[in-house]
Parts: sequence; structure tokens; C-alpha cells
Amino acid sequence: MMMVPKHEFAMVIAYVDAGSGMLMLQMLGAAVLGGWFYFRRSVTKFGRRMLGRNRPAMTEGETAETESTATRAR
Amino acid sequence: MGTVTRDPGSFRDPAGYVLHYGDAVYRSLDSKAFDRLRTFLASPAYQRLSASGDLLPVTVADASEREELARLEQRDDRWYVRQRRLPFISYPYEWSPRMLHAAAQCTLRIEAALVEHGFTLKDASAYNIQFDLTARGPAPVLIDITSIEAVPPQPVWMAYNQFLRHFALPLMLYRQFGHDYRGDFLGDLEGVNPDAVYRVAGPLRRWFPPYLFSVTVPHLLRNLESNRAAELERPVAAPANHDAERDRYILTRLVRRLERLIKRLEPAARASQWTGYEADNSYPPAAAARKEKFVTDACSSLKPGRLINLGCNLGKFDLIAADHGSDVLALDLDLPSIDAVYERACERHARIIPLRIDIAAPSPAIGWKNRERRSFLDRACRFDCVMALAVVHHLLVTNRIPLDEIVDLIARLSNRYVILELVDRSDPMFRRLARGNQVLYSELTIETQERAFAERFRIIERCPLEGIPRTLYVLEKQ
Repeated sequence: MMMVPKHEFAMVIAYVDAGSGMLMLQMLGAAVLGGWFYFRRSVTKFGRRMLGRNRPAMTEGETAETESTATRAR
Repeated sequence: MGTVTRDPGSFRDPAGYVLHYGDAVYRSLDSKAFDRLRTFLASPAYQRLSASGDLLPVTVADASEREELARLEQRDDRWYVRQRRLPFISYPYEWSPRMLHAAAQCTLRIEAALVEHGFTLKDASAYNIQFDLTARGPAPVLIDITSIEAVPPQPVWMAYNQFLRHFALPLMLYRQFGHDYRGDFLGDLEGVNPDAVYRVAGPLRRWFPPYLFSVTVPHLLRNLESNRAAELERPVAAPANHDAERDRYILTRLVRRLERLIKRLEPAARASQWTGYEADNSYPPAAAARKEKFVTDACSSLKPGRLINLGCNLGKFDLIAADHGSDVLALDLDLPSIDAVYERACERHARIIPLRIDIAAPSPAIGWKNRERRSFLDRACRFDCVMALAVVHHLLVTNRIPLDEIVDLIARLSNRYVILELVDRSDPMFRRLARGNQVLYSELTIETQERAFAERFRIIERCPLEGIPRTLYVLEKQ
């Protein structure tokens, strides 16, 4: 994933009003989703170990699942 | 090749601004912004989005172009990218709900594709979307490529709040209450105020979706923060345990949630007093057929490249003009009618941009120094033909605009031709509009109106309709 250097972050992105309440809600949501992400990864790892496979946690299938289902609506 | 002018509405983004030079549009960037842009241009996300039509492609200015622009700008620290000029610049308060909905979906498709490749939109302004005329008809397109940046070191979308204010909240209010969001945009460049939505939703509805997580919880959290401001005031910093894969997962889920929300807010077709006019009007069948043939013949012979229709209703005559090769700007003051025209144009792949404009009170200039968002008439120029079918009597009677002023406006909009329909004071629709005030319009015969137009235009063709006191004209500017 591409990253903005920390020192440039504020300059690059902070000129839009993120809305303080909305930012807090996003952070809460991110905490929940982050927890779910690690839980899912652990379960996947455990499942693979039980099945005797030794593959990286994020497989192609998992990556594909994160892709947007956006469709063109024209 | 003339002078370079900086767009007066382009100053908020520190990364760059828009320049107009000749017939092209350029974005002037500082070197850091240009480096970031080059990284994006080299990514598969750019290829995908520009190929799909969601993003207006750019071309990096070559050395001679850069030298010329730098000389005209009297700066040597800038970099430039060139973009195609779009057929017409419009603003969200001129769009119908379906257009706003399509623009919202376009923004989310872009954000989804960007997140997948490690980028994001740093703002999600509806003003960054324009309607382009494509082979598929009118289509939303992101014009501001400098809005695209690499993802920040936090799994939040900084433009989320702006997306809600510019897209989700207006669509929510329109779907729920039929609320017209024009005033919200004209009154506040930041779009619909979430606090106003919180109040409008009422004490019960605000606790249920879609208001709960889009309006109510952020409202309560913001109040909590205000009450404990000193305690909560901390600088924004990247988390120590940054995990790019986790962040992508979180941002993707966020965009997907918004996609579901916008899908649920798809505007339903609404009826108005004008949506039934095409099927139920005062024209005898022979006169209606004659009018259609007259307009078809006029479009076929004049072949105007750009045509503006001042009162399009459901777009019947705009489709005829588009079928004959014109790029059409179709105006009407009735929101449901504009929605219907947009749907028809998309279905028929017609090159029509419908806009909700009351030609008697077109969009004003708003924003900083009244120059940030230009007035409609400031943008409406270079039309080869103006179509004004049975519009003049509405302006005369309903809006009480003097006849010579109407002629003047039409002459200002048209470079050359006018396709016109004049209505006599004895017409039943005219009489209905003038009810109680007929004495004011006793002089307004077709002949009087024709004489007023003849002062500025040459009559090429005149066609009185049978069984109804209306006459069609093709005029050419003198």
C-alpha cells in the first residue's frame, strides 16, 4: 500500500473539514473492523493449521473479498 | 496564443490550481504535488479509472508547453497537466436527484478503485464531478485529479463527512421528504448541514437508519467532543502499529457501506404538474405532429453543434436535436421533469445535459468574492442555436419579464439561430396563465411578439400551427 510520509500528511489531506463527530465515529468503526480483521486472520490461520496447510494468512481469496462490489450504474 | 487565466474558483487545494489557456484547461502543480500525481499516473488505478470514463484523463505538459505556461505565469517552479475542456460546467444545485445520485456512485466507484491500489480521494466534493457527453449519453466524471493522494497513515476517509454533506444527505432528504436541496447548496458551499438534517428527521426517525449512523451518532459524538474539548484535544498522529492490509480492509468496508447507503437512496420517479404535459396538452394531434416535423427539419438543416433549450419539459425536442448531432443543454425549472430527461438521455444514449434552471431566475454567482461558482449566464455562451418552444409567454405572464428583455436574453445566448414558438394571447394556456390580468397583455398578439424578435433576428421560416394560435419560427441573428 502506498503511504504518505507522516510529516506531509497534514499538509496533503487536512484542508477538508472531516467533521469531528464523523471522524470519531470512523475511528470507532475502524477499531471494531480492525479487531474483526485480526480475529478473522487468526481464525483463518488456525483453520489452515488444523487442515495441515502452511500458507500466508491473507490469500488471494481474502484479498478478492475486500474488493469493492461497485458496479457501474449507467 | 493569448493569455493564461487562473480559474477564480480554484484556490482551496494547496496542491495546485486550474488555468485556462487557449481552448485547453491546465492544472498548475507544485513539485511535490506533481511527484505524487506522477506516481498515481503510473499506477493501474489511473488506467482503470480513465478507461472506464469515471476520471477525466490528463496529459502531462511537454517541455515547450511548460516553458510557455511558466513564462505566462511568471513562475518557474510549477508543473502542468492538460485536460480536455468539457461541454458545460454545471453545479450540484442544478442537477436533478438522479444526476446527484449518479455523481455519488461515480465518486464511490473511484474511491473503491483507489483504495484497492493504495490511493484515496482527499476530498469528495460534488463540485469535482461534472457531466460529460459520451457515447453513452450524459455521464458523471471526476475532473479534479489533484484530489487523488496516497492513503494517509490512518484507516479513515477524511472526505467521508464531505461526501455525506454533498451527496448522501441531500439524497436522503429528497427521498424521505421530497426536499429540494438547491437552497442548501446555494446557501452553503459545504452542502447540506447535518445539524439541520438531525432536526428535520425528528425525535423518532433520527434513531433509525439511514439517519442513525450518518447524522445522529456523529451529532452526539461531536457534542461530546465539544463538552470535553480540552481533554480530547490531541494531535492527529499515525498509529504505531500500522498495518497496510488491515487499513485497506477497513477502508474498503467503509466504501462498501457507503455504496449500500447510496443504493438505498436511489431517487424514485416523482410526478409534478409538468411531467404529464407531453401526453396531455392543448395541441390538436395534427398541430403536435406539425411541430415535431418542424423541429426535426430545423435541426436537420441547421445542424447546430451546441444547442440550448430554455424549457425542455420531458426532453422530446432535445432528443430530436441530439439525434441530429447536437450537444444539448436542456433546461427546465421542474425537478421531476429534469430527472425524467436525464433518465431518457441515459436510456437513449443521447448527448443531452439536463439542468434544473429557471431561466427567469438562473443560478447566481456564489462563494468567495462571488467568483467561486460562476452564475449560469456567465457559463452559458457559445450556443449555435437557442430553442424556445412555448417559453416566451411563460416569461411574459408568469414572471412578468418585458418582451424586449426576453428577446435580448435569447440574442445573448445564441451565436446564430433560434428555433422559436410564439403563443398568442387568445391561446387557452395563455389565458389560463393571465387569468385576472388579461388587460395587461391585450397587446401581446403573435404579430407584436414577432416584431420584437424581428428587431434582432431575421426570420428564415414561419409556420403557423393549425387549430391552435401558435406559430413556429426559425430565426437567424442579424
